Amino acid sequence: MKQISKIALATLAAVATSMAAAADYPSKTVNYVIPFGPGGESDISARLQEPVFKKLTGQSLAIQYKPGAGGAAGWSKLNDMTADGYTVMGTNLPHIVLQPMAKDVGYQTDDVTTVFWFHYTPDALLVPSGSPVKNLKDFIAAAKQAPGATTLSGSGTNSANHLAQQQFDKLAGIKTTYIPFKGTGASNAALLGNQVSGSWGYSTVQIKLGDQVRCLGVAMEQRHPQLPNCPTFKEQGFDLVGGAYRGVAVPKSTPANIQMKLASDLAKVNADPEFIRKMEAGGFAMLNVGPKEMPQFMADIKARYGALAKEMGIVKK
Amino acid sequence: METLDYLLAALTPFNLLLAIGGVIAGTVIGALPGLTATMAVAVLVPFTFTMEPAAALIVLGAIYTGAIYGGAYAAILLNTPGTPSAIATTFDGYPMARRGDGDLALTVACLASVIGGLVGAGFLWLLAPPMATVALKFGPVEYFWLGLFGLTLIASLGEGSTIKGLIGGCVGLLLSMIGVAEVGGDIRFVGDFKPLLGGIDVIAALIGLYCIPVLIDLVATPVAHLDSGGRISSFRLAEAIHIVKNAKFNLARSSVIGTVVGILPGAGGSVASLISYSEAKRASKRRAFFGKGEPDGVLATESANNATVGGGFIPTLVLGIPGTPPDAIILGALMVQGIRTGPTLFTQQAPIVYTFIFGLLLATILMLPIGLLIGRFAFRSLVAIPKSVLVPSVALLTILGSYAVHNNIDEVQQMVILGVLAWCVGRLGFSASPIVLGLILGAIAERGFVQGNLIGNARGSVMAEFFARPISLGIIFFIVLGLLWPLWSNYQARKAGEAHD
Amino acid sequence: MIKRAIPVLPLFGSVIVIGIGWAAVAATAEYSELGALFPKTVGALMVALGFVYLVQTLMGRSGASAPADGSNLRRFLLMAVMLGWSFSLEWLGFLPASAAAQAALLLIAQHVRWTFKKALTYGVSTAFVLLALYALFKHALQVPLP
Repeated sequence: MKQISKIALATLAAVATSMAAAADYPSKTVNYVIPFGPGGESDISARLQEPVFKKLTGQSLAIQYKPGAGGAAGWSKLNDMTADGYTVMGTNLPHIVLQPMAKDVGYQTDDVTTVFWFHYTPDALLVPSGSPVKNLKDFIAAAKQAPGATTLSGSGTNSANHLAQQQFDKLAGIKTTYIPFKGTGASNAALLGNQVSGSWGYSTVQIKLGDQVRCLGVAMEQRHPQLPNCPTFKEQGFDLVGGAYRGVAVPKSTPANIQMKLASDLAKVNADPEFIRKMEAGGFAMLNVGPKEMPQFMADIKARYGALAKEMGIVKK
Repeated sequence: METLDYLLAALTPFNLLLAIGGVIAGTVIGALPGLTATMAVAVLVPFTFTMEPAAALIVLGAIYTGAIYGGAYAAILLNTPGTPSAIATTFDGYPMARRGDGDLALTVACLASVIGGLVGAGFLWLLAPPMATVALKFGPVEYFWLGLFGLTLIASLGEGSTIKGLIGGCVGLLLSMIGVAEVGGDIRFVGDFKPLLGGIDVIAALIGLYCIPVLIDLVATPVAHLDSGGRISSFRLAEAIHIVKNAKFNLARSSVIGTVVGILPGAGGSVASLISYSEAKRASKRRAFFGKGEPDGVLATESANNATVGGGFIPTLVLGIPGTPPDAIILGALMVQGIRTGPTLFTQQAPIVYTFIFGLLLATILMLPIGLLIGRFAFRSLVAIPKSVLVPSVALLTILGSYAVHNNIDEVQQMVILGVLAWCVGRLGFSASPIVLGLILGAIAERGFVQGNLIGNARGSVMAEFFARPISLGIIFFIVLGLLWPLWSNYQARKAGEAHD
Repeated sequence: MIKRAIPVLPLFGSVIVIGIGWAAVAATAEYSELGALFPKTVGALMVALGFVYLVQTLMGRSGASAPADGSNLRRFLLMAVMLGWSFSLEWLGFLPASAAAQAALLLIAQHVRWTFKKALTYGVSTAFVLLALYALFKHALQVPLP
């Protein structure tokens, strides 16, 4: 009998301490590592989370950058980091699904433990406002006339922009040429400078560049509240919904209750009306995928991207 | 008049304090090798969220410009650029320090930085929108030619042989290709060695290639690192002002080059100072002295790199496209504040923008007294520290600096290994600058090349894409000029020599 | 004509340069067309330049500087310490590894004889620099040190 009660007591103590630990969490600054350079969407959305997180938990989020290999430099090191919940990392889709599929980047999709996906930036097809192309129909017509001659800039290879271009080309039966640039900034510069005919960007880009660009379509179910003049692809007859998703991940061995607490804190941040307002003003589309929905969400995403990747020929031999 | 209002708004005690604080913090951070302007700005951004947008911009701008200036300290005193934009400052700054003119070099650097910063901010104030359109005309192909231009300059730079400079440049280029190719996604030169997946970090290479050889040679002999020449160091302000007065044209040209290069997103202070140095050398009657401790060299590089601060803000504020990495962070900070950049910023949010510009001008002017004071302090302490304490301290800085960039131990190891190798090849007559420049420019050139190829293919003619664009042709002209000039001047020198026989 | 000895080191150097260039070109076999272009060009260039360097060396114009003066032992020790430092940071943690390295460097860099007073002041000031920079980076700049 004594044995069992000792065990029970020990278990109770363990549970109590870990709950206490979770309840205490966060009790100091959390390092938020962004696996990209500063100024991009991952950075901006993280910076918007910062003050709300601080208000909510009393602790700061210290944002650090660890760019390299399109994010792989960070994700491949994630599980080597301290797993006490005080080091978290931004994660991105489609990156973490596509990169390991295409080649050996130092991690597998399942190695990355995302606790919460908090927004996505819907794909958007943009042209400079001075372009003769006024709407999607014009665009498709022009592309059909001269296959391959339409150049579209985007950020990175095998990224969300690239995927969007491939998907839409198939849906519309056209052939365009994708020109990868280093980051959204460079892609935008090329767009504005008429170096390319158009750009696969996001709703955030349309908002940022304002009147200088024209949105031909956005990949959402319904029009974005901040972009009433931007028709969705769906309403124009093309089933293209999606974009780049962003979330927060922790090293695999982080205690489960800390992961739950972090997820719930992030969910609370995501529900803050001021935060929502600022995010939407920037062109982001809110999303709430927490630990409960995570397995199903990831399975769906992997299936979807997997099929796409095979078609695009990205999957490594 | 509204302008007066904005000027007064910039002069409020709080804003003034921010400008002063920003410049001091920026200078100190920039002076430490490994801590870049980008880092300085990134660290302090969270504090600006509670401030008014104009105030936030002022403090961030002040830090940025202070950091770019501060990079000259380590460049001059330790032959290690504190930031990549100070690479070219080592060419003449360090030789000046070695022969006892370190204090003069620091003062000249300060004056040049202030003047360059004022020119850049001036362009921002008066000519931002038109200059932004110029920036947009630079497409991938232009960047390729620009990168190539920078690479050809490497050859004309070194005091060593041209061949070694070119080999160094090639090594740098190969180093830049390690890792995942941006365009196409191949993993190159990595093998199975995971730590190299992210490529060679520029800052780690910078610190290693420049600073470690200095340390290695420092421990070998008991000779003091820098000599103050037995004289009490002073500002040598009169001397410095005299030099500046005689170099008006150099300053003007370098500042303009710096501003223009700063406007181009993706090209930064390192490219700007390289080009202006090379032009200054080409145009100077004293060009034989460049590289051996010629103050005009320091003038050219320091004015160019500070001009990129003002220049970089132009595309950032007008187009919403960051001109340099610190601008990207500042842009993010503005977004969080809810400020939308773009052409409307100058009209609808004029108070914020103009208050900021005046604040920047103010911070730049304040850099003069602050910079001189900090400079004197830095110089005095460095000369006074006994070598045995200097070596461990500087070594510690290199370790911390290379780590702090990405919190990555691999980069510390890269730094040391590259440094040791650099010393070895240094014995053979190779210098660090071509390698580092190859590393930086290689990325720019290759990107432009591949993108240009893709676009050219889509448009029908790659050749037309690369050779038929007006700006490209202009740059190609300079490249050819740069390659032929040394031959021409050699020929001239020989003719003059023959005339004497 | 005085026959000058061909310096060995530059000879090695030029051969290595050629070797690197050739290896670079060889490695590009696996890469996609666009990804291979730059490496191939640069590699080829290096091979060409390496040959020029080789020829220069054989003609006696290698431009290598005179053998290094001063203590090569100290140089070697410094390199060893730096390498050891960078590789042991993860194992030992930042402060222990750095303290050890700094102490070692202090000894390596000291040429004049030690006196007790000197040892004390130098030791204390080095430690002070270590702690000051540690605080600066860890707390002011929020850099998570190992």
